[in-house]
Amino acid sequence: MDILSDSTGQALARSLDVAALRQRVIAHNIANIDTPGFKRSTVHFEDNLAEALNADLSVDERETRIGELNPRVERVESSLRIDGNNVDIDLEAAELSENSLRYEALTRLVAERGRMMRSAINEGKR
Amino acid sequence: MRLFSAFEISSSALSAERVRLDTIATNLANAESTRTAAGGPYHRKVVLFREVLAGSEPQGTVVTDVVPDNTPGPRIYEPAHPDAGPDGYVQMPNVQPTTEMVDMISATRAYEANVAALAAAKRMAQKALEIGA
Repeated sequence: MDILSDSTGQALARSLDVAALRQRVIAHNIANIDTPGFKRSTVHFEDNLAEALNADLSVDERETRIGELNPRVERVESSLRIDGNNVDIDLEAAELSENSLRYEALTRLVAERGRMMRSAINEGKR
Repeated sequence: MRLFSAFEISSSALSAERVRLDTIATNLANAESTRTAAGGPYHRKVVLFREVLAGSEPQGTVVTDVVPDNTPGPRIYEPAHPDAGPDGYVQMPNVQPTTEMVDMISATRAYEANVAALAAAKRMAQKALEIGA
């Protein structure tokens, strides 16, 4: 088992990529808040990831499954305003905050794993 | 690194909202302009926003055009005015200050929202740089 790219490491890396993608999608939604006919998009990933992590699989199967997961960007076809635009600034602001925090939490987890490995390599010494 | 395209998305919106604000300022400045270089009174200008996509990659927004709003403005009876017609009426610009002020509030709020998105992208990039530290 490759300690650097086991299923946890992969899950973290993919989650970080998806959080970065989601930030771009939210920025795009906010950028187009005044564009007539524009429909907001949203990113789906975490449900699939939770499913892959909880599934009854062998270690290798889980690694493969996580490696194959891809985020899905969905264009939401609802209607909010007369000009066809459906961007709700409050919803986007909340998603932006939540996504930033998630990204920071993930970077902290990645850093912690690095520290743990470094500690193990140094046999418990600094 | 693709996170930097998040900066470009937000900054495209900042530029677009700034163009919109400039247009609103021009409209307000010309609320009383009864004569333009093309003859006739000033007509308020409206910006057209369009979504920008590179394939399916989001790229923000852009102002494609600044077009005049050709609905006629009010006519004021003032025979002594240099721009009065033969019937004594002056054709005024179709600028409504309340409409322009509401647009200005909307543009300002949109600008602030995009600044928040830019700040979030910047914070995320900084956190990513701290991973190895």
